[in-house]
Amino acid sequence: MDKTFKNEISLQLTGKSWDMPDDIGEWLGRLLLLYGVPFNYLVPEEAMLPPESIRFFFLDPGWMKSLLEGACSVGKSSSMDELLDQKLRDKFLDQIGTKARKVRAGENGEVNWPLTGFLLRSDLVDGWQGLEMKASGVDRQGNRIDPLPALRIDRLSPDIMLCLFNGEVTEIEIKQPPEGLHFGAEYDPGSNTYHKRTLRKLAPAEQAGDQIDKQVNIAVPMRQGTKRVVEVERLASQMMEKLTGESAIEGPDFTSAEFSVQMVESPGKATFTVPGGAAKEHG
Amino acid sequence: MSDLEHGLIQFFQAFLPPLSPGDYAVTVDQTVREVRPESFRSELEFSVAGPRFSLNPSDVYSVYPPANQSGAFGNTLPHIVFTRRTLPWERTMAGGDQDERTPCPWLALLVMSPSDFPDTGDTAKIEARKVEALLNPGTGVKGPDLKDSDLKHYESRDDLCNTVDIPRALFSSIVPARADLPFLAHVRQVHTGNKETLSLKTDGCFSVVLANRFPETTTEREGIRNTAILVSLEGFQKYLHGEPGTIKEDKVRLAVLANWSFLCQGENTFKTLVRDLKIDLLRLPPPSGGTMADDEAAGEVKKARELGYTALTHRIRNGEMAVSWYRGPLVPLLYHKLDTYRYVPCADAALRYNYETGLLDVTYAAAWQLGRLLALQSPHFARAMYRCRNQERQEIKSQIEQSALDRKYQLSGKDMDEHVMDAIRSNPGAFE
Repeated sequence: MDKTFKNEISLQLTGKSWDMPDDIGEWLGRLLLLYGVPFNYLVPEEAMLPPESIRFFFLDPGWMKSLLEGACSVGKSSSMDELLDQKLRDKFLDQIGTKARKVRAGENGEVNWPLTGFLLRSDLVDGWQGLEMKASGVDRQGNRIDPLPALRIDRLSPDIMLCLFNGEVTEIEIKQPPEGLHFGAEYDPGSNTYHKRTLRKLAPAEQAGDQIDKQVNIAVPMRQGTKRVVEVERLASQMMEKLTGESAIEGPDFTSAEFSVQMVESPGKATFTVPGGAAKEHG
Repeated sequence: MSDLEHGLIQFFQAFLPPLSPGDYAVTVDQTVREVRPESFRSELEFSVAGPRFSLNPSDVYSVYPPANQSGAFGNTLPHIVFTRRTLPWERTMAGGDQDERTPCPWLALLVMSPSDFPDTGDTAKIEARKVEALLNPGTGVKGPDLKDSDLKHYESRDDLCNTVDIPRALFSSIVPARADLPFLAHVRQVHTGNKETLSLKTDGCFSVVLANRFPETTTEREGIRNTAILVSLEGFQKYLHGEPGTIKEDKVRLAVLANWSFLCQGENTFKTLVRDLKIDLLRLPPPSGGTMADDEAAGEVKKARELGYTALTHRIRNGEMAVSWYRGPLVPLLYHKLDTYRYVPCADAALRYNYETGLLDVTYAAAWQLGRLLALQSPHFARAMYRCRNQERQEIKSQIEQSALDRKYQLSGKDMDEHVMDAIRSNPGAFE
């Protein structure tokens, strides 16, 4: 291309802003969240993500820029396009970030680089639908952000989950889904009996759900002549009696709601800290 | 219902459906005295249908213990969670309306294990049969106390449903008592803020049916397979545990609305799985010592792995095979987003060569090429991109042409007509 013509184009492009059309932006926004990127591009070797492991990562902006640039290279036909591309290069990562935030929750605003997240490969993913992932992190000034909004939480295969957050994760909490929480009692294999050792307050209202300090010991009543069949109504009335004794219940009603509160085994949860504490910087 | 704070769970005794399943008629009378003394009347008949002999699988949100999972579930009462919050109370065992003070579910979750079937050593067998075969099961088998005439016009004797035959003694010993049933179903509301994107659809209000029996467990490694079966108790109200009705037949046939099985064994609960998770950054473990020929290479590999690189076989364009470094978009260390990136016109321009090791780094070239392939794979996107580029191109071109013209004629302030007039005035002879 002749040099003056090239200068001419550059001149025209000075100060030019480009509003990305929505259909292009949405597609690129999803690409920034790695939708459609084959798994072996994310994790090229199995040893990086062995069974029963959790692996934290940073999203490499250089990689994402290359991916998006490759995607945008379609339809290029003359060197004039290249000049436009060069011009827009630095802005489009930000523009696409804005689109990416809309994908999950329809939020507005830019993404906060660095984007980080983790891969979880475990029977947990398979066995407990709707695991809750809560992340907290730090911003560039080192201030704590809690909770850190999620950009993507998805199952990539039955036992692998990918989570991507809008900012730098320092800690995540994985919680058993509350509607997948379970009911039960303590089992004593020696005597082959089941016991309820703690009860929860139902009153006063602001303490509802808290455990009663005092240990109780209700042997779960079993139906005579059967194996492991609970006499539910008798168990309920024994609980009611104990709770009344502790003034932890108001009113005469003890329904399935009150019974369930007592039978719930607390949902399991665990907190993981990103190894290495503050992130190592590079580049 | 009030909004719940994150992490809170609220329990409710029951949610009764506004209308229980059945046939209804709406009659409207209107008298317009000015027109005629008799009233105008309009009637509309409609039916409220509800699940009866089978259940839509999408009504089941989850089960616990998880289906086909093995774990230490011996101390838990299995339960099933429904997306419909009224489901357990949509019918009654004897027909008729729900008792609003102590609503009683029409469903029960039965838990069985092979030891309940000492003769066969097998577990309960679920079979698909016609509704006909459930209502009139033949000699030796007791079905629900329902007659063909109890079927609604939208239900058919030929509909298929899942059924199970269980020995009379087993049924009587494990079926809940009438007084137990109201405690075995409830509704819970949870806040769904931080779930997988898929689960965001539900409003967080679920109904739950709880079993009245603990699963059988063992310390043996292979575990014991327990089966949980959700059955309809409609028509069995006289034969619940402790009720006076007696079953003469050897077996009882029940409609099965859901069933799953799980293994009870050892330690594999949520808590143990979580405790045993291995935490690290996403990268290969350091190479195990002793295999590298020289220390320098070993050091190089160790360093690369720390940075998240993987050595992959690379088929170079001239057909040679080589080993090149690759790293995905998920890296174990922080790279800041730059304000300006180098422009890369094609994938090869993003290849990086290390003169010291003689190895290529294909990371960004692979990313670039993948982006292009994904874009070409999506015709919608590729077309939109092309359209958009074309438009930009036209715009720039016309701007350049315009500015070239502008400069040539030094058009500042005057329009073309004035220029022409000026030219004529200054040199009249030239236009004759």
